[in-house]
Amino acid sequence: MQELAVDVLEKAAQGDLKAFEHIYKDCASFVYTVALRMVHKREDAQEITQDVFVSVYKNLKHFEFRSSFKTWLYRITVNTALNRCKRNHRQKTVTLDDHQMQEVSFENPSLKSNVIGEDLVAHLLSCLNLDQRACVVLRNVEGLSYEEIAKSLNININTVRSRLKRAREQMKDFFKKRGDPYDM
Amino acid sequence: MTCKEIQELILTDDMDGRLSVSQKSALEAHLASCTACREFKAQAMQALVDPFRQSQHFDPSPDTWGKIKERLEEKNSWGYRLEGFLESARDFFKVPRLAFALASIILVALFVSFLGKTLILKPLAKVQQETFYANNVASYFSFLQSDQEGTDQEEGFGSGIEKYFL
Repeated sequence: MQELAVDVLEKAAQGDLKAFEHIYKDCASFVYTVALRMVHKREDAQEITQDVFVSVYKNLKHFEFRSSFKTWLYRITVNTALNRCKRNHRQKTVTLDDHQMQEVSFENPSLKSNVIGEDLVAHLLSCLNLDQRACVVLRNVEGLSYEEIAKSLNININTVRSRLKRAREQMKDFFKKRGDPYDM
Repeated sequence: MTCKEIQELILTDDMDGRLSVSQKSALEAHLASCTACREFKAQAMQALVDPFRQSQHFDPSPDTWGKIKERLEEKNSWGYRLEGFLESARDFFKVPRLAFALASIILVALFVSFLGKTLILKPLAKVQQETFYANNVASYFSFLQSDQEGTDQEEGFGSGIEKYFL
């Protein structure tokens, strides 16, 4: 995601809905993707996306332009998704059943050639706890640096590194147990 | 470096492109001579890098903006504005709680001190002053009266004010 122009942010902060729509168009995809990767359910991801943008609109006047809007938005997105997961009593490791697998298998025909890959990502993420999942999504899906993840999650860089290490150990073990999906 | 340290590097700094030049050469030297770590790296790449390389971004349903807009327009209504104002007011009083408490104590102390001076001390001083003058006038008249009666009570005029009037 590219950083947005300051004047767009300022107009939106003053309540300009047109400017805010511009922000939405620019950021909706990544907000929805992060939410979907975190919660594994489309309905929840849709609601999280709505909640994130309502929260951004409400709090944009408090946004300090010294920090990156991107980092701020990631933080709101991850926190909203985490709260939703906690509210749904799914804080601990979630194992996907067949029904949930369908939730994360995307019906769009153009994506069918890639369905194993998407299912695999969903499976790998499902074996992690929420903190680890947030780190992996921001690093492996969104491509954030350790520093950006640390700022987004309000943790230090060593914590980011250790969470990623543990998460990757778990995902590697998980992958080994289930075999290579590409051989199916 | 031990195999454990090498494998930790593979899962973190190597995978995320954060290795220093010296770490990179140490890792390559170790991998050249260690089959187990080479296999570990190959498995890690297959399980952790390749799947995410193929992962995509997804868009929310087309009606999402409409729903958000609806909620934002509700937020712009007077009810929500009032709610926002009340929230700000509450935050204003909640955040500097200690400072607010101290300021309140100081204000109350100043107010009590002001009230004490205006309502208690000033009237008391006035009463004392009036009593003082009344006593003096009474003494003076009593002196005049005793003088007219011709009684010899000069020895009784002992107070300072009586001597002054005399």
